[in-house]
Amino acid sequence: MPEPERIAINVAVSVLADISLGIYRTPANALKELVSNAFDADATRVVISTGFPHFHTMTCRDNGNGMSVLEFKEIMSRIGGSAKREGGTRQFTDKGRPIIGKIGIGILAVAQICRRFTIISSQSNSDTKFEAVIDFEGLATEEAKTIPLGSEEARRIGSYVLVEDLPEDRDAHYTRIILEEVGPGFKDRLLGVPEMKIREFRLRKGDPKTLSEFVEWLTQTSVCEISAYNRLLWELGVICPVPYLEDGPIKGHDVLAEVKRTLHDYGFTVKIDGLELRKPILFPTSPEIRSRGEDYEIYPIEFDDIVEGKRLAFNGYIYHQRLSIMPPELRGLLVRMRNVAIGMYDKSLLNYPKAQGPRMAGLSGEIYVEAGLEDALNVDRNSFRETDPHYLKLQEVVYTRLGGDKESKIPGIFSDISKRSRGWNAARREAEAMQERDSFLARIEALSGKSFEIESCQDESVVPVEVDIDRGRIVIYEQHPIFPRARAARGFLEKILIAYEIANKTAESKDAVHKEFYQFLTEH
Amino acid sequence: MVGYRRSESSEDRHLRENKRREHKGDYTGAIKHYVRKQAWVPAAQNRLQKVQTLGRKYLRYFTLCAEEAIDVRIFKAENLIQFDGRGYPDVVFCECDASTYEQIAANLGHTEGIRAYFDDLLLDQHNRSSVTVAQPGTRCSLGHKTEL
Repeated sequence: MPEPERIAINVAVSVLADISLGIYRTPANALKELVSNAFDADATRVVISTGFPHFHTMTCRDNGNGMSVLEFKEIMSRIGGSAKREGGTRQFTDKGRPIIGKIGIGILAVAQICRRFTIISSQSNSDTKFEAVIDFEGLATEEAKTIPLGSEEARRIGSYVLVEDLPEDRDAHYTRIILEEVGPGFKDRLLGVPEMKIREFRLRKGDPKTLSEFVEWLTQTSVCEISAYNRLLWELGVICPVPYLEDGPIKGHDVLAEVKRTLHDYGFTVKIDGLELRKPILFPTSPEIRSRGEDYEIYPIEFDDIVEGKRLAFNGYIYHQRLSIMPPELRGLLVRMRNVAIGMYDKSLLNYPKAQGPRMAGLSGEIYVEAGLEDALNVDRNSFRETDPHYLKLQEVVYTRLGGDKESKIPGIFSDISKRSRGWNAARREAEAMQERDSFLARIEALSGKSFEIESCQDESVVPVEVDIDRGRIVIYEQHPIFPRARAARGFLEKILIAYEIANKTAESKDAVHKEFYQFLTEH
Repeated sequence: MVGYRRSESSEDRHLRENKRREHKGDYTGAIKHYVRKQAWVPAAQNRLQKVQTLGRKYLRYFTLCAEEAIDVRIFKAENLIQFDGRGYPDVVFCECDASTYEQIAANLGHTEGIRAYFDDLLLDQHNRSSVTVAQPGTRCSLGHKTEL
């Protein structure tokens, strides 16, 4: 019997195309990778130009450490085998920032935007820079499906031209990326071509000059209804490791104080088309609630323990307000790892198993993962593998925080919301009833020329309502069996009885009682 | 190599870079600045007066500025063009070199740019497929009347 033969498995080049073209769902997600790369390079400033309004040429520059030619060649020789974390041992940059990049596929994010781009980079203490024009033109062709990765033919699929040792100032350090001939799909997405085809779509126009102005504007609308370009700005603000607005995320409360301090200390700024990004999250989103103050609640959430032999630690908040949160895109739960959002707000609350109806519209939360969950992160950095033990633990903690703990019988956020809702509703009904009574009394005064005050009495009485014309007093015996339990019917009956009693006491004849009674009711 | 029109050899690219650095002083030097202040700005002010009689508050400005975009900044300082906090809504710049284009775009923020050779633009040989001509009434763009 011959020895069984061991045969190497080859992967076609098109796999690269599938990964690069499929992993970043939105323009913001593709640009996020460039921002993350700059963050990992210890940059303090990133400037992105989208080429608005036509989006032909996009540019991105950062003042980070830059790359040497050798580093660049290394990256390009093994995309997906990132040296960023050096086999998992290096978790922080020289400035102490947690390294976002994991497997070094950020460069593929650029391939999604356009197939040909230029990278220019220089490091400090070097008086040269390099320029490389990278071409992924053949990546998505039919031919790519048959060519094995690493083969000689693969060079036709993707290659780069490098010019080294161009003169540069010795203290200059940066990476600049120029994306030329942006792909039609990406361009159309930013121009909002699909939305514009919908007949009923009415674009909310606006060109915010500052982030605060933008956030205020969005409390009146949905992010879906603004231009795709403005949506890109909003999404990038949510996703990137930039600081919060000065009062964010919850005005008047020191929520996520340590996270805010850390983000501030990074000194990392991102400017896109002249707009400096901040996290566009500022609760309460309703001016009515802002002025009243008591119509919202903040629930902290935290966890720190060993799960399946690895540490899992996270903390954050869940916020709930009485009225619906605007824009609706802020509703749900957002998980951040290494300060970068994984996907967008998850309205399902990590697939919370019980429908919560309209209560969900007022709920928003952020969870910052400090340790763990790395293995649960999918390659697109937008979602989690839902079978990962750390993810399951995260789900469990969130679920028990929301729905309460069956064993310890600790109530959850939803039961607290219900309790508070009952309080709000009772107060609202009380206020409405008072308003209704006041308007009824005003009407009686206008018709009879006498002013009255209503008094509620819990004593027993043979009559349900008593009217003292001389003292201007109406007494309602709340316990009288004539009154139904239903609030609306009760209020209606009270009015009929009051009208009858007043008519009975003020009218001069039986006919006049009849007339006055109906007049009271009709006029009201 | 970085220019979109043709491929450059590594040697050509080095020559171009050296030339760019050598001539950088021409744009930032005192003579050029004198001309800007004493000739360019008064001409623009004169033009603005005419434009204002037509109801426009600011000039529309098409520029072949170098990476520092000094002319745009001077015009802003002289209140000849509009700056809206993020960029210059009535300015369009044109630049053929990708690297310089990137620097101008970073300097001017929310401002429209065309990456093309100016002579191609004039001769209408620019890659039209990559340029959308603005509709009448929108911001100035390629194919739209620009004024100084």
